[in-house]
Amino acid sequence: MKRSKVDIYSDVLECICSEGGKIGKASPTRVARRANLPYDRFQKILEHFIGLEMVNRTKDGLLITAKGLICLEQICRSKEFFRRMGLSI
Amino acid sequence: MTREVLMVIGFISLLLNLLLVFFFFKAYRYQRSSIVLCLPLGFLFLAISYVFLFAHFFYPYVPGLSSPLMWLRVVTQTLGYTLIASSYLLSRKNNRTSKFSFSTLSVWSIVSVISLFGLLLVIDPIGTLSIYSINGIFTAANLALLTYILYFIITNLEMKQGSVYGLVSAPIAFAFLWLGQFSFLIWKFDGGTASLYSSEITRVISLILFIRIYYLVSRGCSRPIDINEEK
Repeated sequence: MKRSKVDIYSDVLECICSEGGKIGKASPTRVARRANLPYDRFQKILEHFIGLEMVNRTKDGLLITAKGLICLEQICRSKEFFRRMGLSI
Repeated sequence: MTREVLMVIGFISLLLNLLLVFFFFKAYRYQRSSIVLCLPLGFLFLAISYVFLFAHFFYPYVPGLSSPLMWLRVVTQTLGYTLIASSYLLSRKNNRTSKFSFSTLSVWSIVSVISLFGLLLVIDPIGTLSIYSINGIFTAANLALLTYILYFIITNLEMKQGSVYGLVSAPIAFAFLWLGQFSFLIWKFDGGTASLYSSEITRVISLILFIRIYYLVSRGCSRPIDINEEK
C-alpha cells in the first residue's frame, strides 16, 4: 500500500529516533535505508525537517529536537485516535 | 419545565460537540487526509444544528424565526451525519491529502449556513413549515447513515491487525447516537416526554464517549520527551 506524506514523515522521524537520534548519533544513510527511501528524497525531507528545527545535524549524525519529538507524538496520537474511531488511514 | 431541561441538555450537547470538533481538527492537522476531513466537518455541522435547536428553545414563539430555525436544525444535522458517514465511505477508497486549514473550513461552513439562514428569512418560502413537519424523513435518513457507520466499523473490526482493545468505544458511541435518533423518531409518533428525554440524554452520552476516546488516546500515546536525559 502506498504511504502518504504524513506516513513517510513519521517513518523518517521514528527511524531517526531508533537509530540514535535522541543522542545525536543517527546516521543519515542508515535512516534513509530503514525508512525505505531513496537517499535524494530522504535528503529533501531532512532539509525540510532541519528548516523546521525538528532535526539538527551534529558532528556524529542527526539529532531529533524536542519539537521533532512532539510532532512525532502528535502524529502517533492522531493516527491512533482515527484508528479507534474506526478509520483506517 | 420540559423546555428548560431541554435547553440545559442542548447547551451541554453544544459544548461537548464543540470540544469534540476542536479535538478532531487538532488530530486532522497531523493527518491532512480528505478521509479524516469529513469527520470534524460533520461534527461541526452537528454543533451548528445544536445552535439552531438552542436558539429555537430561546425564541419559541417568534413565528417568522421559529420555523426556519428548526428547518435549518434538521438540515444541518442530516448534513453532519452525511459528512461523518462519507468519511467512512471514503476510507474504502484512495486516501488523498488535503491542504485545508481549520480556520478556512470553519469559516466557510459557518458562513454558508448563516447565508442559508439569511436567505430563508428573507425569501420565507411557503414550503418551509411543511418540510419541518415531515422531519421524520430526515430522522430516518440519519438512522440509515448511522446504521451504515455502525456496520462499517463493526465489519472492519476483525480486519485490523494486532489488538482490538479500545476499538469498540467508537461503535458504542455511534450506537448511542443511533438510539438517540430512534427515540426522537418514536417521540414523533407518541409525543411522550420519556422518548424525548431519552433522545437528548443518549446524545450527550455518545458525545462523552467520543471525548473519552480522545482522552484515552492522549494518555496512552504520550511518550516521555527526554532528549536531555539521554545526552
